[in-house]
Amino acid sequence: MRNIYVTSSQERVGKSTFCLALALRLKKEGIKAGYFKPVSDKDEDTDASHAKDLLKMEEDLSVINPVTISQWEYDMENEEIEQNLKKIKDSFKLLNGNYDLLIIEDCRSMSYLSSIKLSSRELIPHFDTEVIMLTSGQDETHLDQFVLGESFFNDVGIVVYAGLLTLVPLEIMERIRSLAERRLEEHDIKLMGIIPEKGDLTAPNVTELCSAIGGRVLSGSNFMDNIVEDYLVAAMEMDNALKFFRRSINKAVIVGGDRPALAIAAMETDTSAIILTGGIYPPTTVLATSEDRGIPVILVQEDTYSVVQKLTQAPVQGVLTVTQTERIEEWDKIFDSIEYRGLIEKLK
Amino acid sequence: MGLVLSRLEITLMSEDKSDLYNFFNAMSIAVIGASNTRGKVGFDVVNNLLACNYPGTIYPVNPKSKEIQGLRAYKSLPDIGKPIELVIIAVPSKYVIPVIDQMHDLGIKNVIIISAGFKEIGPEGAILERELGEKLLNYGIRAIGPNCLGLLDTNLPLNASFASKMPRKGNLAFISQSGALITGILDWAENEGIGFSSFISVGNKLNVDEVDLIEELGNDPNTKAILAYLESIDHGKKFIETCQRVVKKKPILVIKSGKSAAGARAASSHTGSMTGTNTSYDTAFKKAGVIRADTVEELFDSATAFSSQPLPKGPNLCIITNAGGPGIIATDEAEFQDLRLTTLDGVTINYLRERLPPAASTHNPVDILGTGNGDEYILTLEAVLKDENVDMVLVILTPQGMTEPMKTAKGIVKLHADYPTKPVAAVYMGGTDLLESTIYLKDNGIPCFEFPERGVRSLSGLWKYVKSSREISDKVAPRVFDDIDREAVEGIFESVRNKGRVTLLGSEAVSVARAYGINAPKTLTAFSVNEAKSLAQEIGYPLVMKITSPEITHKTDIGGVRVGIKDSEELVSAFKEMMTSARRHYPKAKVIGVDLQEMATPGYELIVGVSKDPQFGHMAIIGAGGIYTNIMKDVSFGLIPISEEEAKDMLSKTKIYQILQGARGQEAADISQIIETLERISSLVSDFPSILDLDINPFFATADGISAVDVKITIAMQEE
Repeated sequence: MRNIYVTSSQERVGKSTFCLALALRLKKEGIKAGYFKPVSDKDEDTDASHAKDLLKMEEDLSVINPVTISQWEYDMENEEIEQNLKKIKDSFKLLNGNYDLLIIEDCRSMSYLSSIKLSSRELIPHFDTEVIMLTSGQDETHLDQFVLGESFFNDVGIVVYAGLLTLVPLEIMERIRSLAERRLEEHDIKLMGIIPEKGDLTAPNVTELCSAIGGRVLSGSNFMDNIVEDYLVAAMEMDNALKFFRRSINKAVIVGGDRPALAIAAMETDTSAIILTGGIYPPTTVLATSEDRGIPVILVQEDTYSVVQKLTQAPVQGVLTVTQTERIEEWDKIFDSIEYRGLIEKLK
Repeated sequence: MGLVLSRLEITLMSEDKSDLYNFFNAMSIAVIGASNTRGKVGFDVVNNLLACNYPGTIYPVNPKSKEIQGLRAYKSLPDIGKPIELVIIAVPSKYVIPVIDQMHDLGIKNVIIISAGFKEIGPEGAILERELGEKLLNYGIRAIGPNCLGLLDTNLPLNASFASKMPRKGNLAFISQSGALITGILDWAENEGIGFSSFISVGNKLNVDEVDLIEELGNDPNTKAILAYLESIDHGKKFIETCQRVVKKKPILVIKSGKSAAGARAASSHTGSMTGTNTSYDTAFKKAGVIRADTVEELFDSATAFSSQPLPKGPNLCIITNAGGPGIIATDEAEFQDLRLTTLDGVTINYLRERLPPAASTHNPVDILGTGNGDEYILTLEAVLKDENVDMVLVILTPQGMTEPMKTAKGIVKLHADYPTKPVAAVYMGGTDLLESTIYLKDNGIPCFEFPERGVRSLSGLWKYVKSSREISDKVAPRVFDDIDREAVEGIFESVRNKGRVTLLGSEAVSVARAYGINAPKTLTAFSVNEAKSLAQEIGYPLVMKITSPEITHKTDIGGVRVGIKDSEELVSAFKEMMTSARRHYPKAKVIGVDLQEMATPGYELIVGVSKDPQFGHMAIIGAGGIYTNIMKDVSFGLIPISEEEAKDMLSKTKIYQILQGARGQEAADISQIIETLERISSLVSDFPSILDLDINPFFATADGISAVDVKITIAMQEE
């Protein structure tokens, strides 16, 4: 085996970051790992370009990510499906020989494109690979996804290498670990590890947040690396504001531009960024304080409700890029507790 | 005659000169940005230095001029080539830091930065100000400002500001966060005849703030009372400590703007920092021994009394009037201001009865009637000044047929000199007819006002100071407990932080309380139904079950608290109902499990807690608890550390205190346990300053003791 296929039972569980972090860890062990994303679902997908930069891959982006199929293309003719499959196979051929191990990332989740026969189940047989299956560990019920996924692949003779739980709240980490080990063993599924829900691993920084909501940085531009783990809407009375703000750390506070006193109160607490809504410019003193405290202030034209909607519908995630050195280090530490050496054994 | 030492002499006698010394005593001053052009700040500064008869040498600095206002000008600071003790900067903000670098090279340690264009203009200014602040700190240079009016001292004399008026020499020092207020007051005080020792505009308070100045002025023999106008206090704890030291020597009167909610918002936007709640300021000022004035008028009414009058021994006031109405108004105000309308000694009453007309009232307030002439005022005033029951006197005069305002004024001045240990104030109610006599009184050191309320408030300020400085001097250290388990709390906080949390689970918070000897029912957290069943055995039925989620704060409102669960069957059904309810009300909240708790004996419901105020540190609260706490608002506050006396004082200020003592046949609660809990909380947060909020509500108090039923704690991610 010279390849490993990384899929997940649902979207937004941290596949891309895991793939790149795994590749970087393997590199430290002297193994040259490459990245391949056969299909993406949108043109603006940046996974391939981040991988190319981080792993210093020489191949074209059109090789690393040869095919894009969005939800608007489900009516494609069989001929086109075949063409796409051929493109994928051709790219794979170009990449396969260049690396000790090629990490292949699924698009969205394991079932994506099943109806047009381009899902993980149809692609994997072309790649000589086993599967790592990621699922969210937010609560116990997600363990079911492993069992379902295992049979989804087993039915067609694909071997699941291991399962990996991500986004596990630190609070319930030990309980989930012991439950998962016990339950997955009963289903003959190996647990590769648990990735905790920690801001420094997956949470976006202020730059990523700002670009996602289309904001303008008014002050604190030297502090755009602050991590955003939580969002709070400030709409309370001033009397309760501090108590409310203190319960959350590394947060972005979303507040109407017409309520600068609340923004100032938020800056007294562990806050990563202030998002001022409604396009209302704050008093200059607020911006001066933000510089003092190292908290960027971002102005958006939309109202508070729209910003919250945007963030709820498409949560912003932190990605691994060349500039994210701290995040890369944190991921490296995580790999101390992940069983990935079995993959190296398989290469021998 | 006693020995009076000047500040200079005192400093020469002491080994160390304060690092603010040169601001008030510099004998050589360089003015950066000095100008010949009227309308420029650099013109006004040089002009004012010349006009005030400053006895030292002035070095104007301006690269383009050879002479400024008749003085030789220098191209730069190094160009002067002579020792300089103080620099005044009045050039655009971008040129300030290079001057500071030059000062460092030349070893000059004091600067007044009048220049604006820093934090107050926004982020670019804030960055510049931060850089400036770091330089000042590294170089060990003390700076007033930036963005300030400057400093005036009537003793040197020195007008290092762009305020054109020099105040009358006096013994009041005024620190102001608003430069404009100073210019206004300077103009007004001239008319009022109020004198000052110094005026300092602190501007952005980058390096020297009100705390440094209070310390300095506390040691200034020319200053008898310190007045301050403040919009924010950045170093609250230091402020309190310093004031506590200084008020043992002289009074500090503060007017803190932003008292109303809207005012607080305005102050917050104006300064860009959280300016704190009115409650926190009231509590802090009380702890600091500072007298808070509500209005500028009140500030100066009190200040004028401090300026010329001795301190009273007690709160006993006697009012002398020639009109009933104003006498009653003054009596009302005295009550509101916590002064006591004293009962005159029988000897005094009889003495007055024999000498005043029969219709006159010889009891306090003493009404000598509209016919009262100068002699009657004088004999009455002398009689009450002699009376042991009288600590201070207010003389009210209205112009009537027989009134002799000037004769009376002269009598007051003479009697005050004869009886110098009792403060006297006058109210001359009138306009042009009383103008001359009013000026005479003021010029001769008798505070004189147009209306009775102001007269009373000026005297009550004296008593407030005596009372608060006694409280400060009598302060006992907080109790130290030796039955606490500090390591246990350290362990809990560490584990909470490791889980990425800052709010404690109920079971964790209860353990923290118990570690500090605060009685709380045993509480355990269960993560599943099975675990709940097994932990319930450990606690024993009946028990209380509460939902555990850092995101659900008002558990009762969503059915997240069940009291009196009898057996495991009820436990399981309550568990499931609770989870269903939580999902319905908070679909996205992370529910960790449930807290199981021993049943506590219900008692009087109190709230006890602590919240960390951004300015002044931990502020404790005690009062009536339960779910209606926010509506009843029967609470009182105190700043940590809290001694037994302070805890008693806090509790006694609540209405529920009377109920706790046993009202309407109810059994009294164990008050000493409640007080001890406050002291133990004080000890806990003193040991762990990273506690941001701690709430115990309800906190049951019974005749047998106390029980912290629901404890909530939020901590900072970093230990301090």
